[in-house]
Amino acid sequence: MAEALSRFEREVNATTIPLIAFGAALNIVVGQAVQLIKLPLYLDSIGTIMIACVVGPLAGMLTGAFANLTLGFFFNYAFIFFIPVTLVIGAFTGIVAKLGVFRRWYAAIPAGLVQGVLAAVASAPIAAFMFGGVTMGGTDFLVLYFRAIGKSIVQSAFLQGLAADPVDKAVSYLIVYFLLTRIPRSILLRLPGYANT
Amino acid sequence: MRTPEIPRRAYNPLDHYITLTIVFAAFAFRLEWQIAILAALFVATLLSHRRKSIYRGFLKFVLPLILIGFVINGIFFTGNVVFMLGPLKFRDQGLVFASTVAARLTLIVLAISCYFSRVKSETISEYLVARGADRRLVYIYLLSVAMVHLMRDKLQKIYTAQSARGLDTTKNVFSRARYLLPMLVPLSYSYIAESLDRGIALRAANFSDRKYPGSPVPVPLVEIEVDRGGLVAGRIILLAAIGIWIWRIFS
Repeated sequence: MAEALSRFEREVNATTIPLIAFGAALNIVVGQAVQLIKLPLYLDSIGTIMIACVVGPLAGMLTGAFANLTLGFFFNYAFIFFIPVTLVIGAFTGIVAKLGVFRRWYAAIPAGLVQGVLAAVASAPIAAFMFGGVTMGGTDFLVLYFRAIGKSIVQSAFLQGLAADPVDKAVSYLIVYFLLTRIPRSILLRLPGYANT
Repeated sequence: MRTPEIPRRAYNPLDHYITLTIVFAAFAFRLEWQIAILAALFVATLLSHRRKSIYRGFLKFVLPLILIGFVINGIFFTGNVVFMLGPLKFRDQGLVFASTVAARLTLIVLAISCYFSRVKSETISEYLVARGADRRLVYIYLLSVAMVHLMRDKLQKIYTAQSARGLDTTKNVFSRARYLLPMLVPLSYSYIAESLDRGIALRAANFSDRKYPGSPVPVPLVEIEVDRGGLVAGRIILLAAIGIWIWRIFS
């Protein structure tokens, strides 16, 4: 407990608070950018992934939670229920970032794929029990298909997540890698997790 | 020198206790109880001055979810056929499950909508700080809400500039994907730099006062006047709901 508190104090301080808020806002705004250029992906965890990489896992978890809270209060309440999924994304990214997956693009892709599977596992029970398997995410037809071939609601929600999330997260990891390579070193040097980039 | 007066704002905790009780009921109570609460909530939303935005949000986000849920679960659950729509057979177990999900969602969404129609998010934040919440978390929330609007405006400007440079959303997906980074890099760069500068300002103001115990106690932006009667009534309502749930389990 003391260890967790000390980590919290280390990761959530005056320097990182605005970065966490930025990450939460980035999650929401990237969703808008994806809609503007009509891409068939969500990419709604880019801020979480970026902050988990440049600050740490707890900061990443907070970023995801605040993004979903803001989305939930202002746009669609369904997002609030998916906060546990964003916690998984923040925690996993923070851990793998320390292993150096954001230093090479070819390391970011498999990490993103694993992240996608974990996100699917975390989101399936929520989608199944809270929303009856329907999330209005554009991939609901997959739930319909899996139900039609005899899968249960949880299985259908999981398989739907498995079909969409790994690709989405692998692309998100790749985008974060490219974003970090394009941000000037002078700025990156001021970030607490500079060594992870 | 006269100290400027801190603005006062009233907050009645009964609002959030009722919301919490309804959210609890959405998970713990039976369908017929939920429908009764829903009827009361429907009357409350009708009386709300923000009923238009509440119903618009409900029709836009929740109703489609409920309708698709009825179709998917009604068709693919097992059980007796209740009715047919062309070749589609809707079964009783699926419809009951979809009704449970629909009642739960409607209750939660309407309860939260009513709460936010009555209370401003700044007031909630100040109330939470006054009740001992970590003000760093409250600040993150307020800052992220403010940043979303600023970043959306900036993104729109970048998009317009990229369109002038030849961004074509009618091309194939790979051509369109190429424009994502040129949109996100300037956005991220400027806001990361701004966030780091903001961090320096916060450090200078000793914002993380837990790290520096000697720092002065922060002055609240707004003084919250808590309605004591509402606090007690709210707690009684929530405890009563939990009591009913426990009684139902053991009876």
